[in-house]
Amino acid sequence: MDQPDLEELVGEDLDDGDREALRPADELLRITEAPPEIPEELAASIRAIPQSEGQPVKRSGRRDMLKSRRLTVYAAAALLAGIAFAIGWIVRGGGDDTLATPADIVTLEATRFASNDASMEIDVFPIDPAGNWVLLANIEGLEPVDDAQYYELWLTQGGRVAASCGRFLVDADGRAENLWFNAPYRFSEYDDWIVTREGPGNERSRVLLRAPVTTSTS
Amino acid sequence: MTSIVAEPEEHTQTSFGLEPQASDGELLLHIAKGDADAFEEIYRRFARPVLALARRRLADSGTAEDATQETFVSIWRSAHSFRPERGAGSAWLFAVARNSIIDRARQRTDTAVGDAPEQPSSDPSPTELAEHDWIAWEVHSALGRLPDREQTVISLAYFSELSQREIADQLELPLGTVKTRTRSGLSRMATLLEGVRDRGPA
Repeated sequence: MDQPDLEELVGEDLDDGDREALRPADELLRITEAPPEIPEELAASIRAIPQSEGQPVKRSGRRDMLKSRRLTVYAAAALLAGIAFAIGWIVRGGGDDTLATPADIVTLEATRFASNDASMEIDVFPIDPAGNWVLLANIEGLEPVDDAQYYELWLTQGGRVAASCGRFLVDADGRAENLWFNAPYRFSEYDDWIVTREGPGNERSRVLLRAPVTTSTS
Repeated sequence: MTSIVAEPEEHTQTSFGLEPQASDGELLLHIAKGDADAFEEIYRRFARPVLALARRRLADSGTAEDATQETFVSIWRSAHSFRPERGAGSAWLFAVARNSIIDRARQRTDTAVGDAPEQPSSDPSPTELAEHDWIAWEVHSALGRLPDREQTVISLAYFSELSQREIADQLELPLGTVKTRTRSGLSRMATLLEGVRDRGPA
């Protein structure tokens, strides 16, 4: 069965101008497939997110706040890590993530293959009960990529990529904000954090951003 | 001559004083303050667009549902990073969904994102796929903004391919009411989708 034409849908008594104003929407609907229904179980789990996640993490300001906070965090890193391990991951265990504090902040800086302005800052939150490090990343200064390409965050070991922490894209301004990754790894076994550009046309991936793995997250 | 007049809607307000036709960006700003009602409205508008995008890119329905769930977790956690001056809320949501779907694809062992094909293909190019993804996203989310009564007649006409008479019979409504709701729904969608091919995602 074919879709009814616009005239049948809206009636022939409609003014020509009014009918033509509806035609772009009519044409877009004709080239679009039906949206899927949401399974009940999925709907229930999504609607429960505000209760299960607690209040959203609040961050006022981005880079400046991170830089000033980094000094405090480094100074207190050992103490924080000890406390974090002792009381567990408050977010997942207690259902309130407003109190989550990074155990470390890692800054990946540009190599010669990226713009000097490029960087990535990663808040490394204490390990969760399942054994994952929770990472919150902010990126700036990377080139937007073609649709099939993407950036990837890795841990390296002996000069080779060894463990992927996640893929991401950046917006037209070269930014991506508040990307969440999980890393089920022992950081002490790795040497560097790196970011590469992957996908068609990047078969020989170059390291664009790099930072050493610091002991405070091991 | 008949002019198009949108049917009146019931007006309700959320606990944060949210207007019923709040923009996607306004809803995100409310979510950043912990407004569960705003999150519910974003769910109502975008759950089907997110799942449609995930199914198109991931094929496996279970993985697509996982990516949809993760998208909404990211929206709740990261709404505070939305900056209205950088673009529309819909484009920000599209980017969040796309990142969650790519991350899911990475975890699959049978599909590698970005694998180069061995032979030239007549399949749509990545650019064409991206354009289709964006248009479908905007059409589905515009549909989700319509009052239920208009959404129903539009869906039956375009996706179930029923005639206006068949829709009237199925819904037990006068034919004129079905046509009025169709006009009103299409009019709202025309406004919401104006320039959709030009604006593109962030």
